[in-house]
Amino acid sequence: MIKDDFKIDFENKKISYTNNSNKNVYTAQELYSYIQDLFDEPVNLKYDIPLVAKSKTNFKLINGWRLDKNSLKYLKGNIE
Amino acid sequence: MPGSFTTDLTLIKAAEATTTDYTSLGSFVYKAALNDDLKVEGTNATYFSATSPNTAMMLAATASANLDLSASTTHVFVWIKNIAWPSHQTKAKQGVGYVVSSDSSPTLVSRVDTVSVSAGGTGYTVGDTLTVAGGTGTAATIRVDTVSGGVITAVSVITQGLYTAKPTTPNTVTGGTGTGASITLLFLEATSNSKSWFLGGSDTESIRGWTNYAIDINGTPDLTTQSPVLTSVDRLGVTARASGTISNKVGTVVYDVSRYGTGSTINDGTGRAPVTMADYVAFDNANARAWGIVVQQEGIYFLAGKLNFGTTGQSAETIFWDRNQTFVWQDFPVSSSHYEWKVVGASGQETTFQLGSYNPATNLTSNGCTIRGSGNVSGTARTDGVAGVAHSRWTFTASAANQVTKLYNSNFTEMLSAALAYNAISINVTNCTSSNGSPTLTTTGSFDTSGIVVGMKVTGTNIPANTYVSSIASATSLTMDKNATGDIAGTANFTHNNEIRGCTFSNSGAITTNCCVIDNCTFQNVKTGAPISASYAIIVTSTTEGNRITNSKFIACNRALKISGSGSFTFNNLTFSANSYDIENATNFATYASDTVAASASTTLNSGGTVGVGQSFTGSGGFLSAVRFFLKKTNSPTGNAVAKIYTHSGTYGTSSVPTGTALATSDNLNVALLSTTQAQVPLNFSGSNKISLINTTNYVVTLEYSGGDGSNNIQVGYETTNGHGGNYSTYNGTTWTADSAKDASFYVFTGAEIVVNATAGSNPGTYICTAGTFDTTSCYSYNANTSTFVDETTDINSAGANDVALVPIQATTQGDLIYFGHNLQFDGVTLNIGTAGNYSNITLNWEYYNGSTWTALTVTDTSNSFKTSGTQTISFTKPSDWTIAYANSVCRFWIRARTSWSASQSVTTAPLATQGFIADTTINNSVTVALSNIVTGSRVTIYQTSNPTNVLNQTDLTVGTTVSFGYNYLGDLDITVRVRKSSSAPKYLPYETTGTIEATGFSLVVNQITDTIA
Repeated sequence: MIKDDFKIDFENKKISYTNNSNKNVYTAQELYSYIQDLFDEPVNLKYDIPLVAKSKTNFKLINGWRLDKNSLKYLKGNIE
Repeated sequence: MPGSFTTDLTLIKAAEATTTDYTSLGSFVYKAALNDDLKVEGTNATYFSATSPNTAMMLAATASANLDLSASTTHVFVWIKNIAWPSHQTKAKQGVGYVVSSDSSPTLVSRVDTVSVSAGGTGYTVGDTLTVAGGTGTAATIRVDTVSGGVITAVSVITQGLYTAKPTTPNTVTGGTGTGASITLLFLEATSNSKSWFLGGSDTESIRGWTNYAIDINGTPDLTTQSPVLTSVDRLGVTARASGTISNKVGTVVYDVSRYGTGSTINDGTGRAPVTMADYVAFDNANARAWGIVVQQEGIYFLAGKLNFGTTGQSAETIFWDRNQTFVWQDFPVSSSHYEWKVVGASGQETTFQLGSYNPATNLTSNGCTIRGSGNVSGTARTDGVAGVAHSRWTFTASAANQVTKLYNSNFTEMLSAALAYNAISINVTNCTSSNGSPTLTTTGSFDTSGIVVGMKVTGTNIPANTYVSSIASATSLTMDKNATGDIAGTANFTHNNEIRGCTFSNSGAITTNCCVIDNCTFQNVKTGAPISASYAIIVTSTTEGNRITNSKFIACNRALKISGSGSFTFNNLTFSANSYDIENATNFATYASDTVAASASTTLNSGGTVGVGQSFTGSGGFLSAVRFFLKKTNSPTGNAVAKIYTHSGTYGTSSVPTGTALATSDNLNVALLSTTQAQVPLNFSGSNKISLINTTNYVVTLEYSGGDGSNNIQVGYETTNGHGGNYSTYNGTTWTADSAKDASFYVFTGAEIVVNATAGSNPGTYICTAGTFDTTSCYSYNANTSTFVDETTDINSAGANDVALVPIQATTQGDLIYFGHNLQFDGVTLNIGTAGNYSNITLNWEYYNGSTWTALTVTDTSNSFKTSGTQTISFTKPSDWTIAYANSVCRFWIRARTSWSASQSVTTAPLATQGFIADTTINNSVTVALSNIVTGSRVTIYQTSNPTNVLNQTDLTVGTTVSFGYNYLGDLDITVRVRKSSSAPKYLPYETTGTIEATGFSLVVNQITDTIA
């Protein structure tokens, strides 16, 4: 489950892959969908959105969010 | 011509006598009394001409006149006509002036005015002081300003000296480090034992006709010579100073009659036709009088003295009405109280004063006037550099009874202040009939119309609404502006009031309304600095006064409305913009009902036993805000206690008990919050429970608690020394029983509360409190490093010293505190910060107590956490769960600021306040924030852009497509709107935008776009 493998640090605006044991790989689109859903939750409305989609395979980090380098190994697609 | 006119001016000199009545000093030619076409008054005028750069004086009055001009209101008026301004000096250099001397035979005295180098000598040093040699009198001194190789190149006057015989010029001066200097001296001549005022000069006066100058003879002159005695003035006259040597063939200055006094009075006892300013001027300016209080030039009326409209002893009514005129107060050296229009009347013989016109049917005003100073009132000194006297400011006074003042469509500037009134005079005229279809009201018998004036509102049976008297025909009839529909059965009532409609006040001072009606007016740029320093556009002392102000604008005022009377105000289309503060809450607290004797015993309240105690007291007006009882708890009672105010029954002080339903009930007091040690505990009244306590009416205040049991209960303190005039009572749940031997230890508080209900587009936002003082032990500072409380209450209530310790106090231990509290819930503290804090990496956390913990309080803090000096406000919305708390064992409604830090904290300068005020200013101004076109299922959040923790609304839109809620508008607020729908299909891209909640609210059509990728 992507929600178990990625940690969203709202306060420090950082997205990290945390489950290095099972090494699940996701598409960037899956991460985007998960984040959009997550940030729709009432408690998260106060936080800025991390990603915008430029296409189904190309995404861009915004609002000062960062993606740790380790995460890139478990993502297919491009996140600028 | 209507009108009768009088003046209080007393003749000084009519310029009709021969040369033997005149004294002349200086270099000039003159003709003391001349049969001349240039005259203003009588047959003759006087002229003279200065013939050299020095000063000439032409002093009239007779020797040893011994005039006493020391009365504070005395002003001298003198007609002067200047024929050749270009030949005169500038105003500051005494071009033409006026002089009074207490010498019967004054002499010429001289001062050194300007100096220049004739010979530079040798060996001098910059800064040398040179002394003028020779002459008779006090020697002048001169400073060496520049030298070149020891040779003086520039000098200036240090002291002017005072000579009865002038020294030679060029003058071989003495002193300094060198020798051989010679200085050219230019003298300023004056009259011995005199005061002089410089009235005009080539730089300030254009070529024009006669001017009747007014001078505050007790004011600060431009030049004082020796020691004039104003209780014994012998000579008064005109001075002139030429700009160079001029021909002695022409008289450059002509002057005529001079008088002293204050001004004129306008009465109209000659008929019903209103008197106008033209009527007065025609009388005033006639050759036989030439008072000159008002003159007209090129269509503009210029004023030089007071004008009274009507008198308190008049035997006939006075009606003054003017339209489409311009009145200008002239730039003369008069006192600040000299320029005034004052309207008064007599009982039964009223005065009506009206400017412009008003049509009550259309509510439109027209044909107004302009009344203003001559300008130049925005700075601290006149542009010509002469300070110390007032210029062109005026006051309007119409607050006395028996007058009607109506100001329509007019512009007022440089008005120092205005005091008006509402006259609720009713005249009952019995046995009146009216002719059907006729606007004429008649009686079968004679009735007294003397109290009826044009413009009065007429009410009564069969009289249409908004009917006004348009003329008075005879002692048995008058004409109204609307037809009565039938006979008037018995009584017609006539009322009038002062009113200001459609007027603009700018560059002006405060208006005290005294219940005057103010409608459709604009108040702009009320002056805060000298010489007006008004601070307020309007001063309101009661809700009645405040509610008579409607449909008006307040722009760029320091404080638009100063409200000094507690209560609930309705603002009807009052709009505010760019004011420093829209409202100044200048109300204070009152503790008019109390028994301060410490409780010596107590009554236990709990279920099944006594459930209430009462104490009678007498109202003395005011707006109920809080009460306080001495309370403590035993063990752990739960539930709430309340205080109530009841109607009084029984004999006051003996058998007083409550009766009926409570008139007001306090907010709940959670008894679990009480201490087990007895303390004074406040109970707050809010909303409609803030009732007015009627003067001299007896009430009973109660404390009621019906929870708990025999082991868990509360105690209410009382005393038995008869410390209060009322009496105690107890309640068993069924019956109140009086106890005359006891009095509750209690307080009833009123005041310092203003509730503003904004309607019809009103947008008050900013406010400040300036009068609410802190109750005993209601301000504490706490030093976390030494763990010590300091009671700052005395200091914060005093303006004497910069001695209230704000926070941070130190940077060693976190947790410094400053507590502000009161018996009632409040929403603002104003601080005069004398020492701004200079500290770094320290956060101030504002907090309140919510019944279980100290909780973050969102405040608007203009002091930037006490880092900005001056008058600053800490304002906030009262939290709904705000409860009492104990600080240093004192029970109050507290807020506090607490210091915290993470690292590298420092305090260079701890902030200090001089004084502070506390009050409750509630502004109810709900506007609508509305979002539409939202996709169902979206989640919406709206928060303050600059403070994201201040969420105004968050909605889970499970149904519908709109979000709408009320927002209490207290000034424009920038907001951010977020709309998201990604948790279920169809999904949409996050929508976010910013906007501003304005006085009209906020409306947004949301436009969400489908997210095809998520």
